[in-house]
This record gives sequence, structure tokens and C-alpha cells, in this order.
Amino acid sequence: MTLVFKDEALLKGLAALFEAYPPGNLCDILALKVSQILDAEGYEVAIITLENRFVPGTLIRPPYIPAWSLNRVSFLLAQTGFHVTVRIRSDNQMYYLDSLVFLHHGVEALMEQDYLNLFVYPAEIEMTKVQQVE
Amino acid sequence: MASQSLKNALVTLDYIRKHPLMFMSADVPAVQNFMTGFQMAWSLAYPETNFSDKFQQLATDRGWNSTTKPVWLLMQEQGLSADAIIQELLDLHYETWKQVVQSSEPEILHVSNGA
Repeated sequence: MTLVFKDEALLKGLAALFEAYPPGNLCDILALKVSQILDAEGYEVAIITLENRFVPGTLIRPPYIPAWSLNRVSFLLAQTGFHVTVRIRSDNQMYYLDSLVFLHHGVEALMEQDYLNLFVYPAEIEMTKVQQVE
Repeated sequence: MASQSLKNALVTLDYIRKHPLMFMSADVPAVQNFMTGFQMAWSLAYPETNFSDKFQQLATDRGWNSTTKPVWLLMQEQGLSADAIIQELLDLHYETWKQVVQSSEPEILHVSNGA
């Protein structure tokens, strides 16, 4: 199940943003812009930081976050150790929307497990920071 | 020798070989570079591990026998895909470290007996 946006102007505005910030590039700036647009439209949104879990027995988080491309080839979504996405709460469900989601589904937000499945190692992804957008 | 540290290295290496794309890009030179750095760091800290000889022996045991070519090139010549080469390289390094740890076990027993 996905969260579909029906407003044409909103769809166009978000699509333009995602095209300007493709995966692997300035995810934090994109998340801020997307969240501001959605907040202005009345959605309950938060900016979420994702990181790899610690390597067992160490205080090291692996530096790369690999994700799947459209043709199921892995690519490095993040080489900085973190990725930033937008979380939307709607009807008591959490949905995620960012350039990776846009790549696979267009302007639709995904539920958590569907979103995590876009990553090569979904079980290793940890949400480390939640920033409310007001 | 710091056997516990070597065991920790083994655990870490096992994690890396199961999640390589979190540490390096998916191409053979990147894996080769990463593992060389890993090996160099540990060989500097624990030169008595004699990693290189053990690695070469294990590679030979697994059919990668050459004194003039790197093992990844042998694998490539045998028709292994890049993904298969990467996994075999990571497994080779892991198995070599496993032997290093096992060879340090008597020292652990010695320490335990003396306590």
C-alpha cells in the first residue's frame, strides 16, 4: 500500500524536486524542501536520518549505504554514512518519500518495510534521528 | 599474541564478507584494496601472524595456485564473475584469519592453565 498524492500541483512540484536531486546527491537538502512543501499542504511530516547499524562488537558504523536501482543493480545511495528521508504520518500509518522512492515508484510514499526493501541490507538500516517539521 | 583481538577481527571480517557493499564498491579492485589495507593494519600490529604465507597456502589449497599472478586474476581467467571473485576473495581472507586465530589457540590455553 502506498500513499498517493492527488493534487496535481503538489505532484508536479514534488516531481520537479526529485528530478533536481537524484539519489546519492544532497538528500538532506531535498528532505528539507520536500518536508516544507508537504507541511504547507497539511501533512504531518518528519525528517528522518538513516545510518547503518554498528558493526557487531565495535563502535563503527559502516560508511556506505547501498540501495537497489530500477534494474536491481546495487549502487551507493550514501557514501557519507547517513541518508536523510521524509516520513509522513497518515491514517496512523508511516510512509516514506525520498529520491530512492521516486526512482522506483514516482511521487508515492511507501510504508516502512516496502521502503526498507529498496536497500541492499534492510535489516542493517537504523533510524537514528527524527526531526519534526513544524 | 592478542588472541582476543584476533578473534574480534575474525568476527568483523565475517560481518564484512556478509555485507561487503557497506564497506566498499562492488568491483574487484576495491575489494582487493580494502582487504590489503585490512591485512596491512593487522600485520603491522601483529607481525607474528604470518598472514601472507597462510593466505598463499590456502589459496593454493582452493585451486588458485600461481606465484606470478594475483589470485583475483586467476579467478577471472577461470571465468568467475566479478561477484563470485569478490565473494571468493572475502572468503579466502576470512578463512585465512580463521587459521590465524586457530593457530593462536594454544596460547589461550596456556594462559588459562596458568591462571
